[in-house]
Amino acid sequence: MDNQKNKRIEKELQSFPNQQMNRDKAQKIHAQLMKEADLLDKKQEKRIIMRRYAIIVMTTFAALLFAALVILPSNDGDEQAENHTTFDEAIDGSINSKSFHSSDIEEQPSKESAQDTKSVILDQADYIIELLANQDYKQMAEHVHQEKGVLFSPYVHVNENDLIFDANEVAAMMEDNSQYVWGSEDGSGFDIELTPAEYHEEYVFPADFLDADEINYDQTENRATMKNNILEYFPDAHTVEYHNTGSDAEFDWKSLFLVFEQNQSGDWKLIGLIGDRHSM
Amino acid sequence: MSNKELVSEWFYQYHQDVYQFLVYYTGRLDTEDLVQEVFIKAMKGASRFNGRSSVKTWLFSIARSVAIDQIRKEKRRPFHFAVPWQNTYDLGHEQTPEQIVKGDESKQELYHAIHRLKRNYRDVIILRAIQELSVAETALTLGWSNQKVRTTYSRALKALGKLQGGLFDG
Repeated sequence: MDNQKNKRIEKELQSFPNQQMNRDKAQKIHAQLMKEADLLDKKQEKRIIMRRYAIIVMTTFAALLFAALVILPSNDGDEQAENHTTFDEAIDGSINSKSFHSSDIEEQPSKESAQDTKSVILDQADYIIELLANQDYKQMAEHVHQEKGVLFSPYVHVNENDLIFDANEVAAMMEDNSQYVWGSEDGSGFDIELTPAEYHEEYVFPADFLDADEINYDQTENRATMKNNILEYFPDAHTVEYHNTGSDAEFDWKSLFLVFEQNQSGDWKLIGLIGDRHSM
Repeated sequence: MSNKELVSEWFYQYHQDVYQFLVYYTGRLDTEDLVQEVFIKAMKGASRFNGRSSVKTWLFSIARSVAIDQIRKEKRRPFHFAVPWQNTYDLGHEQTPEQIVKGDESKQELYHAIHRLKRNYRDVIILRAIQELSVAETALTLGWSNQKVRTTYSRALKALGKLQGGLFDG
């Protein structure tokens, strides 16, 4: 009985009239959209050019520095040439005295490093999760990569518009009352405009990751419709994902990815805090 | 693909769908500004779209948020459709059911009833029945499971039936 009634109502709803937008109005909107798109394209193009320019300047600077440090002193005369020889001999001597073979130097660290790296990173991630649970960004700043800073992304499709904070900025984040645009909200497209403390509550630590249901190392498969590109964006990085399943029916699961990359001293440092949740 | 090409393609393909959804959701025929807002938001969020299954459901989910936001702005109260239908026309810009569904009285009654439903019933009725999205598309738009779409849709139809009294009893 109910079923038949539902069918009749459904049929009536399906025969509601089509609402057609006036053609002239549609054309006006299209023209306006083209203007907006043009502005956006130009802005993005400018950003890409600036980035390329910055890379060229940095590369040139690095090349000059290299030339100044290595190539120029080697032409400075016999005394330094002799020093080089002495230094090289000293290295040879030290290697020989420890009975190292070249194969040991190349293979042993890399064999050990896969295991070691994983355990070092997992320990560090656990420590950082505790700091995040306590909103202790001051302590966390000590784990931030000095050169790269930390990228904050509300979703797993990382892109060049995501905000990056350096270690000093991270240390002061919880006292910073400025509003930042962290990206656009999935679904609505609205700007995510929040203070760092608000962003922390809503996107960094929206679930109790201290009691995570899963902790995954270097697993970045897509959980929802949004493409997870973390390891493509950071090819030299390792990730630790803290995942809380939530209740399946409501799609309220949450994840936080901690992304680590090695600094020049070989220490693994935090370069990304990236959220994941159900996406449309 | 540039933003220009992308948004142009999306607009030509889906602007009528988005317009119709906004008309039925907000109860206004002049939703062109909202249509424009939907596509601007989609364009600005395009980098987040990569790899998603459907542009259409993504646009509908943006349209729904834009519509809810607009209703809030206008009424300065959370859910204006919770206001008895008879009073909503006094509040602002809504067209009467006669203007939206034209002529047919039973459709007008049904249209009243939709706007007296609670929000998740209204969402699923407009998307599934009027826009004729599939269960999976509705689920993607609303962020629900397929099962939740099925059960909520069935309950929403039942609730509509009750509001209509004996009109659809056969």
